[in-house]
Amino acid sequence: MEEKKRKISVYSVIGFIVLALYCALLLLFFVWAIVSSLKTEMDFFFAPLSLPSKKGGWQWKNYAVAFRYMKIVNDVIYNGLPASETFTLMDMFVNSLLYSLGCTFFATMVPCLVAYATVKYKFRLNKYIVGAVLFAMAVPIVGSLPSEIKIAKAVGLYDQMWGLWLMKANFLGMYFLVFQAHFKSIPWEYAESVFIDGGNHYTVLFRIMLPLSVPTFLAIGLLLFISFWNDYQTPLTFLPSRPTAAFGLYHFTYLDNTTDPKTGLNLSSIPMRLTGCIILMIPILIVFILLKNKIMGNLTIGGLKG
Amino acid sequence: MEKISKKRIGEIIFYCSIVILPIVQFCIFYIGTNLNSFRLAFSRWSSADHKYYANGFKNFSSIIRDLKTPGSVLLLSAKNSVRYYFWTLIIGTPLALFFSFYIYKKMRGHAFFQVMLFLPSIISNIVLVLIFKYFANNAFPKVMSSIAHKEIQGLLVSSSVATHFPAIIAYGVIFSFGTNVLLYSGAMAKIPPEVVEAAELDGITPLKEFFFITFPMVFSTFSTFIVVGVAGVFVNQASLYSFFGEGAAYQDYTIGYYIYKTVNGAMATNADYCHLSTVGLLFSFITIPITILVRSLLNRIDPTEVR
Repeated sequence: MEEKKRKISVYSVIGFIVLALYCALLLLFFVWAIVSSLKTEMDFFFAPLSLPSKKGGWQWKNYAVAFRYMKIVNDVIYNGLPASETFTLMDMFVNSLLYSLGCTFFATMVPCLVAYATVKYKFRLNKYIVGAVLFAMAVPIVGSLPSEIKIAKAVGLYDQMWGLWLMKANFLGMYFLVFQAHFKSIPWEYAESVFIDGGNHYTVLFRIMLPLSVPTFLAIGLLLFISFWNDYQTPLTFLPSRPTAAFGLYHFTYLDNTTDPKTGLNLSSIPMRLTGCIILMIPILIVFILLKNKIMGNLTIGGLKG
Repeated sequence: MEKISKKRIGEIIFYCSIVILPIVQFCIFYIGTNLNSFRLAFSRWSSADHKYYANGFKNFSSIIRDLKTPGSVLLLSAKNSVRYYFWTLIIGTPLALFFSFYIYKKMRGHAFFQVMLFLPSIISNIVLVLIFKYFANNAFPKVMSSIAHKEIQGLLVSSSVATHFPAIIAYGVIFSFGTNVLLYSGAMAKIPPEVVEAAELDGITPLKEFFFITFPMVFSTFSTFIVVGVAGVFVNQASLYSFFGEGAAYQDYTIGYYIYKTVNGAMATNADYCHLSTVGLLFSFITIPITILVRSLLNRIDPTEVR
């Protein structure tokens, strides 16, 4: 027993040390980013590892400046004349929210409904739908982006917020299988009792099946929301005239090179860019802190067989 | 002809109302997109007529010629894609399994470690990349310079191309654990506790428990990750667009980055679309049989597979 305890302790000690070192490294990155975002450019250049100097001081105004200047100016045509459209950080946050919520809703609801239909209703099309899901997961398609852009433009979905929602409204992906497993576990007897009481299929779906699916729906929806919130490449490609916050940070980092006329701050300095990073992190950290248990609920995927 | 009952008609109407729009979406954005990719791969763009013309296999022969040329961008990109996947697999997967096992066994600090491991998954890739990049270019050289007593360059500055890819691989490993660990530890949690208890009564060590009980029981999750990873080798950008925007050194390119950067570039043309669709199709033809082979190999060695 003593020997067994000692062996377990050795493994747990090694595991603890390795994980503690890893967590220390992660915390180092984040703490360093926060401290660096509060420095002057000179402080950062000469002493990137130190706290802000007495001369430089803690630059809390970096955040105010970033809020004011983290913006995008798009060239547009208005009434046939060239004009410009400015998006502030708040505008970009609103775009991020619309993009994330809309895409999350469609990307979660569509596989949920299609999975329900294929599990509870016997039609020949079901095996083709499931086959399509497994095929898309197992067979890699490289380089379809150029074609996808052309198709989106051809059907009028390009550069439209609702267009992007519809582009995400597909049943492909592993969440379809997760919903399938979920609906298989719900007895059909619930539906039969609804039919006896005079309800129809829609009554079963909206009053029984969907309410029972809320935990799974929320767990998947939260993961998708986070993923859409953080995605800047899809809006960059398909929604160039409605920049999101993530794209705003990308734009701020690579394309801007201006000085704030009020404070003289160099907006393309690394402390300013790190300020932008921290600002973008805050909303999703709040969501994570509030909904940590739901986000990290058990989701397992099985093997690809058959 | 058999009369369809009212009940069945009700089911048909309901079923169609649920699946019709997703099927239409699938037809346009999966089937239509991939068929259009095919069409573009066998076409060329005429800037004189503003039209696509059939181009036979010329696009493919041009790309194959490129791939045979030592030092060409495409060949380098393909090699980097494979290198990136290989190193993140070799280093990242054992660590992910090690961390997952620790969390599954609920050892000291497991709840805190689980949250910390998952944290990078919820933070935007652009944020993590920028923090890592500025640390690697500014803080890391200062530390190494004071240890080595000589000037050390930043790992991701434009003049130190040799250190770019190792730094990008390091980023890929450090920030990749989140969802992997969550799914592995979730799968481990489904192992019947009686199996583990019986083994512990027989005096099994944690190491043996991992290799003889835990890993075999989560093999399907492991093999899913491997198959999905192999399938995505040439799709993965390795976060290069976040690291360098459109300005990555060509020695750092991956196929995923090459395609994305060219499509989104300010100078992208319809001719580029034909070229990129051909690149995508060619690498799909390479990846599909490899993915099928890897999947069937993993199915063969799956310890839980009933023969």
